[in-house]
Amino acid sequence: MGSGSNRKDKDQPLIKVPITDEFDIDSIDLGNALIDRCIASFDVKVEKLKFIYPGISVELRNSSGMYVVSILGNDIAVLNKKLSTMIDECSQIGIKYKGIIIEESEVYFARFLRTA
Amino acid sequence: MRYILRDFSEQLKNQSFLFTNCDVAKGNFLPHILEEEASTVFNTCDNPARKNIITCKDIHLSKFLAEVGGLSFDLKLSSTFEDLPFYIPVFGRELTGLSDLSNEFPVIATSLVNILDGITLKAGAFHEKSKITFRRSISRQSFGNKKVILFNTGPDTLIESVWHKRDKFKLFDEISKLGFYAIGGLNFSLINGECSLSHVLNQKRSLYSCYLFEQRGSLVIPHTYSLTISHVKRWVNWLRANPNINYVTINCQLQTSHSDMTQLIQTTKYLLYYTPHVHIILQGFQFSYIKHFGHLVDRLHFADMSPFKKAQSHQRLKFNLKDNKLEIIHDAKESLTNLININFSERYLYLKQLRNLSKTDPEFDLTQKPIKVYNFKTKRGVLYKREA
Repeated sequence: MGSGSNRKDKDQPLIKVPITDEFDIDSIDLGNALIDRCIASFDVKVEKLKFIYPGISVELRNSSGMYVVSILGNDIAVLNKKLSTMIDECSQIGIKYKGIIIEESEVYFARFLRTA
Repeated sequence: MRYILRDFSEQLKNQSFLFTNCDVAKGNFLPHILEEEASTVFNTCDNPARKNIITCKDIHLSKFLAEVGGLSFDLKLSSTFEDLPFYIPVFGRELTGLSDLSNEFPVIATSLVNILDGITLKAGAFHEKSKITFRRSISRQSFGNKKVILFNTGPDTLIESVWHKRDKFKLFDEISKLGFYAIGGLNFSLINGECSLSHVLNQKRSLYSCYLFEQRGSLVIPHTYSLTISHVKRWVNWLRANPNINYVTINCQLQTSHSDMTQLIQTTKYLLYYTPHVHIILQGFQFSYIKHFGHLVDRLHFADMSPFKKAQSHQRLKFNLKDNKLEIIHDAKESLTNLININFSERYLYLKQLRNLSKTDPEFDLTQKPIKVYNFKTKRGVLYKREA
C-alpha cells in the first residue's frame, strides 16, 4: 500500500499471472496454484529448552524427506508431511522460509515467514 | 532551508551493477521508461517467484503488460468534481457514529480493506483467502446523507488478490453498485530501490483500475503516487492530457521517516506547481508537515482516519488554540459514537489552524520552482529543492 522505503514483513504477496490466452491456461494455472500452496507463514510449536529464546533464528533442514527445525545443529521440532511437501515444492520456484522463535501465551513457536 | 528528496549518489557510483541489473537501463522499455530511471534501482530485479512486484525480467511480463494496455499513459479519464472539503474524515470497518457526524463534514471516506474480506492475519503475516466477500455493514443506506469516497487502499496482499480475482468475483461491478460518491485508483505499492519497471507498471495498473471503474459509471480519483522526478513528470503529462481530472489522491500511510516525508512533499508540490487545475487528496498525511506547503495548501485536502482510531482506543482529542497543539486525553466514559464525533471536530479545528499558519509562514517563497531536475550528464542535483 502506498509508496515509501520499506515493505512490511507481514505483507509480502506473491503475484499471480493473469490468464489472457486460452492456450496457456493450464500451465499458468499450475504456476498460480503452486503460489497458493506456498503459504505466507506458519508456526511450529517447539519445546522450551535452555538454549532457546524469543528472537533467535532457526533453520529448516531436510532429514530423510521430512523437514526439521534446528538451532545450532540441534533439532527441536519436526514439520508434518504436508508442510514438508510444501517446503520441497516451493523451493523449486525459489521460495524459501526464514524462521525465528516467538513466544505467545508462554508457549514457544518457530515462526516461518516466506522469502523469495 | 534545504530539502533532499533522495540522494542516490552512492548507488550511481556503481554504474556497472545498476546497468547490468535492470533491463530498463538497456532501453528495453523506451519510450515509456527512460534508461536513466534505472539509476534509482538498488535491489535486484531477479524475482522468479514474483514476490511483491513484477520486474523487468519476469517471464510472463508480456501478460502483465497486456492486461493494462501496455506501459503507455494514454488512458483518457473524465471524472470532474465540484469543490471537495479540505477535511475528509475516514471511517474504519464500521460506520459507527456516521449518522451523528456534524454537517461540517458532508464528505467522508472509507477504504477497500474495510469493505472487503479477502485476507486473514495468521502466524504473523497476511494470507490470501480463496474467496473475496463483501462486508455487510457497507451499503448505500448506511451512508445516510453523506457522500462517501472509497479509497482503494489496503495491504498489498489484498490489493493484488482483488486485482487478480476481479473478473472471477465481478469485483469492479459490485463495488460500483455500492453507491460510493467517488472511487480511488487501486493502491499498488511503489517502494524505493525496486525495479523501475515495477514502479511504472504499478502506476499504470492503478490508472487502469480507474479506467475500469469509470467504464462502470463511477466517478474516479486517480492515485498519483510518485517516488522520483520521472514518476511525477509522467503524472503531470497525463494530467495535462486529461484536463477534466481535477482531483487526484496520494496515499501517505507508508511515509513515516523524515526523508520519506520530504520526498512526498517535494513530489506533491511539483505536481501542484505544474498542474494548476488539480487538487490533491492526501490520505494519512502527517499534519506536522503541512507548513511546508505554504499557499499551495489551498489545493490540498486531507483524508484522515486518526480520530477514528483514537476513539476506538478511548482517546479524546482536544485542540489547544493557545499552543496550537492537539492534546490526547484518555476517556473511558464517553461513548464511541461521541468520541468519534468529538475527535473529528477537534482534528478539523487543528487542521484549519495549521492551514492558516501554512499560508502565513514567511519562510515559504512560492515564486521558485519546487524541484531541481537531476542532470544525468553531470550527475549533479539529485532531486534537490531550492536553497531558501
